[in-house]
Amino acid sequence: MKTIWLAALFALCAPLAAQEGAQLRMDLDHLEERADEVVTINLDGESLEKGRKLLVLKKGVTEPVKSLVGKLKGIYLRRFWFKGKKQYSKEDVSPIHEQVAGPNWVPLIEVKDRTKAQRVSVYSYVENEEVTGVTVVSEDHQEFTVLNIVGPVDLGTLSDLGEGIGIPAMKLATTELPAKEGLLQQPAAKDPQPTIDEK
Amino acid sequence: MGPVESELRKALARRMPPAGFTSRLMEKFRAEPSPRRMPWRWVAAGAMAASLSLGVFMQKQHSDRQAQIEARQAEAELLMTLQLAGIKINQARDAVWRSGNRGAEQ
Repeated sequence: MKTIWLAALFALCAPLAAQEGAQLRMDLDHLEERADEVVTINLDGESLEKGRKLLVLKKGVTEPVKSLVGKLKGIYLRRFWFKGKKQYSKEDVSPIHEQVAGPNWVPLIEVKDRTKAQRVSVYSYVENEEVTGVTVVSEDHQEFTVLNIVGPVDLGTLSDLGEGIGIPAMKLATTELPAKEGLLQQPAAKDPQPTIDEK
Repeated sequence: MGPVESELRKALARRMPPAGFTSRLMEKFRAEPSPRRMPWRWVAAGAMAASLSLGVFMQKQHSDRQAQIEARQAEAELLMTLQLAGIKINQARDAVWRSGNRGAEQ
């Protein structure tokens, strides 16, 4: 009887565990106190649904973008910006690095620019040979950003979005997020030549 | 004075009202509902109903507006976060391409 109950409990919890697989625990509260600027975005459930409904109705949004947005289960962003130089240590951000080093997470690209002490890493979460999540970690002297997308993600569409393809010109007036600090900076076409450390 | 005149004087002579006449009259006035009170009650009730309806309508307008603001904010956040992810991925991809081109040139 006990075994049946345990089996039933496991069956109930299994989908939840699978859903949380690609979702990172954002254990970065200690950075909030030190950062001069913090951007926190948690979009899932009702809030994601509200945003999705409006975005899909928007003119100029292409089908691949609609499809990408339609399959999303959650999107989480933490961005910490520091006025002084390197206000955080490796240990401070290790909770994130440890999670993306875990099973199912596959490092796709890791770029280190030693001249700027800049590092951008892209990881995908693979389940049954399908990408069900993506995490981007970007760090430099003044910034630590972790962006976690849960759900089947087409990296090509995401890349197009980064170049402004597939969406109409965006008016940032509807959000309070700061654009002036370079959060929506241009792609690194003008950046100096970085050195590459591939895993 | 003729008999007719005498009769008239008698009939029109001042007489005191019967005892309790005033109090009975006043009681009768009090017992009868004032015809003016009814419309004021209805006016007050109507005004209250109207203000209540207006309050409910305003509250609904406010909550609708709040929901719209939240949805727009969620939309902007969603789009901005996806764009940021795309930008970062492109940054990394471009760096890899540049590195590949440098290797090919060498």
